[in-house]
Amino acid sequence: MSQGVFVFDGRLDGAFLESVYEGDIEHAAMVFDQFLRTIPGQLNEINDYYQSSDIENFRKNVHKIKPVLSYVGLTALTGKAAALESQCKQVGSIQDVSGLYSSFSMELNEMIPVIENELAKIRNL
Amino acid sequence: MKLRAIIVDDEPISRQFLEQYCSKSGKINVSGSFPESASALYFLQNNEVDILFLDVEMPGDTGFQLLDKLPFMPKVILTTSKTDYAYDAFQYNVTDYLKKPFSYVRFQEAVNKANEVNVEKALEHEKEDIFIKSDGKFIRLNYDDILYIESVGDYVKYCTMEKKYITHSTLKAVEEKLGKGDFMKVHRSYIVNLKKIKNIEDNTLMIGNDHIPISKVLKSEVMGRINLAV
Repeated sequence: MSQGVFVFDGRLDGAFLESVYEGDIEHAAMVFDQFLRTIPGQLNEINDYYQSSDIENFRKNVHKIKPVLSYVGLTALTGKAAALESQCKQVGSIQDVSGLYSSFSMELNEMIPVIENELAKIRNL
Repeated sequence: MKLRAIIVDDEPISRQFLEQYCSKSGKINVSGSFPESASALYFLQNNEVDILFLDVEMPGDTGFQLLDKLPFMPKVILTTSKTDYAYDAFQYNVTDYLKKPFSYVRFQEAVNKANEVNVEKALEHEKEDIFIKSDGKFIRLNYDDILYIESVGDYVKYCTMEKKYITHSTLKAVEEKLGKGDFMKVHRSYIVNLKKIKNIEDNTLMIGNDHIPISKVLKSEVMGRINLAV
């Protein structure tokens, strides 16, 4: 795999990705791959806690994936996850976070194909 | 010589990230990577490390609860995505606090800090005395005069043959300061001068005229540190 300059998709936070990988594109590929393998299960788990109104475990699992989102360049979604986590501590019912959760979930699902595409691009270098 | 480290984090990508950074640094050997506190505690009861990369919120015991159970205190670098733990971090005298996600540059800063502290610690071992503040005075205590140190709430009591001195501190801080030379934490409330032990019977040791309890988990380490005739 070439270690030349790789330009990430503009929808990802390229500056942050550069600060963590410092051009080590193999490391980035490893993390992107692991992210794509683990995130569907983690999102299902979060959704199960949402459906069962288990706000504490819902919050804990949002907390768990929060930094990981940044490691694939989704820093804006890390911010949204932080807001969601914070709201969980302030509200009484999981219904009170439904709006934010819905938009977080939708945006994340929209970005997964972008991550898949980035991984494919890296592998094709 | 490379620093020995372990990673404790329930999130696999975060663990993998740290493993990669440690390898890239060329300064750290990762001896273990654990998804929760219990397995890390088991490892640390049998192995010493220089650096502990530690998440706070995990299933089971939190990172801080793990620190409470450790038989020794490595340099702790907290890795957490929250800033809420700053006060606890200060209380536990952690070396650095990496807020996830963090860059490689920030990681290097933390490792350098831990490395500097290790050098300082090595120099501390060369020292033969300590100044403590007690009754409004700084008092010099020769290591050789100290029998044991007892934790008493927010204070610690330094016991010598002649006198007992009470000072505002924690046992963890004292343990750090004294280093590992002749001193050893034998119980969550006691550090003893191994050279002053008169006898050991079951889970109690005698120093001066005092009986000091030995924690069950530390008993084998105590027996390993004394010069036991076989």
